[in-house]
Amino acid sequence: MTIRSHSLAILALAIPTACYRGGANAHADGSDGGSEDAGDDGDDDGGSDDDGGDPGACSPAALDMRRMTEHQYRRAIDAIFTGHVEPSSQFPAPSGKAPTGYSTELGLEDVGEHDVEQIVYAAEDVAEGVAGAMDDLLPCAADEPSEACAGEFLDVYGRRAYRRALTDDERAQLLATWQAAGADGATFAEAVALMVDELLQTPQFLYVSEYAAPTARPLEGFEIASRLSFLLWDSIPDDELLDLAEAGGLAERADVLAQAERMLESPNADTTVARLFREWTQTKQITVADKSTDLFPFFDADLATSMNESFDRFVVGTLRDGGSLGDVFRSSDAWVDPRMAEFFGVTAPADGGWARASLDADLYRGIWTQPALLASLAHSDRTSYVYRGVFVRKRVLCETLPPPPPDAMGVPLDLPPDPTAREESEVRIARAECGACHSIIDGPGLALEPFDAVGRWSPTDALGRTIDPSGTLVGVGEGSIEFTDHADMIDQLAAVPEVEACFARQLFRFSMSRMETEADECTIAAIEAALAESDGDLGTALVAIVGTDAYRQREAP
Amino acid sequence: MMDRRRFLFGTGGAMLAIPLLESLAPRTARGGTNTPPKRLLVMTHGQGRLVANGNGPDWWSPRSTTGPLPAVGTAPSTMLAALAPISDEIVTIDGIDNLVRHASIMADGHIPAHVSSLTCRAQAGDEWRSTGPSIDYVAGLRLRASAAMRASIVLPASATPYNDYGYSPLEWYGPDGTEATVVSGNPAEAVVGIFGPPMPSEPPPEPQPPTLRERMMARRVDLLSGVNEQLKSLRARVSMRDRERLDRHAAFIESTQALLGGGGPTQPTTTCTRPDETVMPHVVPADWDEYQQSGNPPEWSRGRSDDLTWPHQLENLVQSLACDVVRVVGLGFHTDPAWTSEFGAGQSPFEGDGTLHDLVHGLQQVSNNPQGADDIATGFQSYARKFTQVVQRLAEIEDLDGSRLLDNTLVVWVSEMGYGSDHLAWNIPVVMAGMPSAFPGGRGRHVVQNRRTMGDLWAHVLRMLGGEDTEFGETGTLGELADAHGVGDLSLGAGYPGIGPDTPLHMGALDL
Repeated sequence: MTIRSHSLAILALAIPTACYRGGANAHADGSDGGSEDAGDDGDDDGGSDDDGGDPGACSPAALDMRRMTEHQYRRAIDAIFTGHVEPSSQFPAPSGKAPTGYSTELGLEDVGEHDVEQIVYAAEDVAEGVAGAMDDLLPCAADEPSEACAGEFLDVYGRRAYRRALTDDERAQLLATWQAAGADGATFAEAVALMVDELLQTPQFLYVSEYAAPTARPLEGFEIASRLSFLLWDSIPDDELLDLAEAGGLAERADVLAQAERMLESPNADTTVARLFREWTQTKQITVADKSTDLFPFFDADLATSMNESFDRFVVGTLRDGGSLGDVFRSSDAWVDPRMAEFFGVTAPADGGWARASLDADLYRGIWTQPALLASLAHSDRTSYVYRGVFVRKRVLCETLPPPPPDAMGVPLDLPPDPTAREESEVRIARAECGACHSIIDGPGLALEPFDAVGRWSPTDALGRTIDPSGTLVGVGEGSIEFTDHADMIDQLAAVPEVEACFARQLFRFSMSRMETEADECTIAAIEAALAESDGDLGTALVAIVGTDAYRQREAP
Repeated sequence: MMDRRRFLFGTGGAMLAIPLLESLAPRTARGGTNTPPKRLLVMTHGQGRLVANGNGPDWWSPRSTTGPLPAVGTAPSTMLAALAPISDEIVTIDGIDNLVRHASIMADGHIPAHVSSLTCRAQAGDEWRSTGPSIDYVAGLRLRASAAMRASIVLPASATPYNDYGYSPLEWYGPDGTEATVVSGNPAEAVVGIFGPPMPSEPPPEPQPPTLRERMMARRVDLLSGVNEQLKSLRARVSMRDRERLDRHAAFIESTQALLGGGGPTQPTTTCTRPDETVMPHVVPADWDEYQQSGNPPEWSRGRSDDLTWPHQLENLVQSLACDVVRVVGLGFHTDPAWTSEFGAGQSPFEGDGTLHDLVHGLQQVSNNPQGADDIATGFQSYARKFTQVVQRLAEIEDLDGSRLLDNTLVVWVSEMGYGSDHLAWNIPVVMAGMPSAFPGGRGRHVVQNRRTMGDLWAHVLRMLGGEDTEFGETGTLGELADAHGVGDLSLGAGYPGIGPDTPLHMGALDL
């Protein structure tokens, strides 16, 4: 029995009623409660007895064809045309809800009712931009507006768009467009733009696809390059990676790992790393509209922006400093600009920019006490111990919670006057239909109660009563974790194996843009093993999946 | 023509940005088909039923149970007296709530109701706008003949500046809550806004070389055919799951080609006539800021020029549909009208400081101010009379199949609130007309729904126009909506008893 399934067994014994439905057969569920109550966002722990952990022995991990996300499209346009052309704002936005919580999930990007039209408009916008930037993009356009020059354009920009060299047929078709436009009176730049218009509507650009073979096969160099770039950069491969793929330089595991490490070191990875941690922790881009400005008059658009950037700088900075998952959990450092320095009560950077600051080590714990996270897991005018508790259970421990009863939020509670959050929790737990889940959710949520709705340390509630942050985290580690406050809880959590195992599972979901299946447990175990062997090193963890055969192979259809 | 596939995949409120492309004129097929297009006309006014708050006599409701309306010529109710000539054409509805209004962080009693009534979308934080498109845009995007046709246009019923908050742009939105296409309240200007500039008397200028955008527009359909070929080629090389994804994409390419290619011709009626702006009164709304700064309401404000302008604006509205310039139109009224035309010049109690808004708020019970209630009921006839005129004018025009233009047009009149006196958002007054297929129980009836929502109403409208929608706008429960938009406390004080966080935003299909 593995660590994971062992802990689940303990959990099942420790919990009085059936709040959990996790286990080896719970992989396929994608439902989402969406309520403040113990809603199920479709995560499940998906434990398995088949933890191989040997990256060479795992079967290929299925990865369906996927359309670029809006975010990836914007980054791709920027990369293809090296910043000379603005991406269009008309590219289709995602629709639907991601059971994994990650925005790259395939179902969000299916082409919908009006998406083809939007893709047309977006391609035209960019094509117009290309025509206007021709001199920067194509030096030969100024002196030699010839077919050879148009072909040169395709060799550079077409290859980037398709993430591989164009086939002869593809090249000929696009050049035919250029020729026809010229014959119709279009200028050279207009004719090239018309090629771009076509290029950006083709499935070769829009979809990241791999051909299906009767049996599992190693991915080709260009396919590996695209997997790497969309995983680590949310964008297309750079020319160096494409050159390497073209030269057969991605055939070996070591080659791929070396490139993954290079790419992770690039600033291009920053937004992807930030997105991973944001989406894992359900930290949204906070805006001023999210909070009550009556209750928090100091909370303005600038502070919201600073909070968001502080979060991103923290997670990216931890990676760049060679930090570990433990550092993500336990660091008492934060990144501050003058607004965040004021928020935390520390000295502002002398130059008015951003700098790392050391916060009170008794209070602050890494990503957990990032204001953007705490504000995301709160209402506009008050905290939410339920949101925060569900976060611990589902995102940090990868547990499954059933959806709340249909009338969960409508059932009036028999509360004392001006109840504290803890009193409210106790009343709810005492109700038969609520207690099973809230007895395991509320404890960790209440530990974070001293951080208010905008993530500010506030050890007393609105009526001035001191908040009691102590409690029990049921069903973790050897049975339960007793803690005195949030810092104690987080410190103990950071040491239990379930957390690292869950992070490995989250990395799998992030990397493969889907929930795991039984067949994936081996790959997840490999990521977990890489985490354990490196003492939780983030850099190792983020590229661990790339080193598995499962990732570098295409499964049989 | 409407593409059926677009409806099979209909998602109600899911909207995307579509540019206006007036320069690409749609093809016209006058008499080319005998099947007229479906159309929608939505009319809104502010402050709800205006008289009574549900505890006293309701002057709006024709009756308390489902059943027939009085015969033509007899007033259906005090507030709806002016509908008497068309009572056999209409269905009046009780029992529909504007639930989304409650999920707002704004304490104001009006703005959240305005922005949600036609969108069923949450308010954008504390901004005075919605987060999604209104029903006219959603329906229009589906019904339009081609991408060159605007999804919808909104006509102000009065010559009043649009940036006056009382004047209804708050209800109409494009994709993601962007501004709606509102034409001028000055009828002469509205003609140009609807039909374009008049034909020049001089010879047309020498044709200019097409712009790059025009070149791209001209080859959209062919390009998409090429994309479809590429999809087929890719399809042959990918897995079964991937093929399904590509097949969906390919299906939408076909419907998009029809839309972009102008494949659906416009279908004007044989009597389509562009209104002649040269004979219209020249009413130029002054700038609202100037009005505010001066503190002197000019003669045109709050609908004081309605007698002059309304007949022309009515014709603009009807001809925009008859000429198939657009297939969905909105008609909005000032929320604080002077109702001069109902009382006579200088006689209206709503002139000057006597605002409708203030009077309504002091009128929780009719007995509080019987004269005020009478005045409101008199003024309300302005809405009812105009609605009647719209219906009658649509009925006068023969459609392509020999039926009346009215018979292919669904006409819906709503307000943003139920009982404006207390900002109550339950029991929205709804009057519908036109399109017989929308009313299986027949017209000339009053229908009492057992708790339905505006989302249910607009989903019903989309179904009547050919969709398969069961929801519109926000989905889930009120509590989920509130959480999703950071709303701590639901404004339940403006709600029907029993509304709470677990109240679903859709209750079921309307039974009409």
